[in-house]
Amino acid sequence: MEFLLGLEATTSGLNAQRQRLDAIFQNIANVNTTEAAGGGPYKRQVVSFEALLNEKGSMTVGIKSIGTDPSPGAMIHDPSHPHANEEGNVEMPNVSMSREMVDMLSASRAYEANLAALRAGRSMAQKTLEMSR
Amino acid sequence: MNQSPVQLPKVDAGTASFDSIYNLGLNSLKSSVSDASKALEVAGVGSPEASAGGDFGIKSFINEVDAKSKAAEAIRSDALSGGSSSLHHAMIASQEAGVSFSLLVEMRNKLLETYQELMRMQI
Repeated sequence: MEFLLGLEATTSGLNAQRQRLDAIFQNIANVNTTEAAGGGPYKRQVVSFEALLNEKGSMTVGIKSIGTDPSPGAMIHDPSHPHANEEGNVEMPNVSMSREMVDMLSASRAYEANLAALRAGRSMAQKTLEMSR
Repeated sequence: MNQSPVQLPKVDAGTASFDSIYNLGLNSLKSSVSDASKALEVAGVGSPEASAGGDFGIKSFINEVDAKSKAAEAIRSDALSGGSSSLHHAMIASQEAGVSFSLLVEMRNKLLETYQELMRMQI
């Protein structure tokens, strides 16, 4: 049994949402990056999670992978761009700002939900300690 | 009841990390807990192995709480210096240390209560 209720699962949840937010921040930062390592424009980072059973018997969140979204980015006609191809088109990153904003909102709400769970666990522990009073 | 003067056992020197909590009164807590348990031992109360240690497991309990607090401090400084620990790790570790400290205080209160109950006993 864990010392504080739900500690393992909640900690992994906080970790997972942080990772997700980190990927979203990278996507937003690279919204105009037309060249990345390995050639081509920046590709959107996608974090996927998996449930893991830990040795204390709680299902925690694990980071399954931090992959890239393979979908093509928008082609913009701009012959003056150094990364333009023969036809004068530049492939932009496949990052959609509105989508990232929605994801960011969802990730920060999920993080807050984990914090609320943690608070509930702590207040239960405190109430238990008040038992002898 | 044998009311021989209670010998204050030497308080384990706390390490640097716990100094701030000492200032908040852990020192007095430690001494009063060992005071109480020593008195119980003098009075011949408690199981033989408990009184052999003379501290009812409180000393190891304090050490465990101290270890938790030290771990929290290590995680906090790791988070501050940009290590692999993040903010929530530091917060959770300090919460855990805080709750275990409250548990220690409650146990100390319980022990003192028991001691005072015994002192009030009519013979």
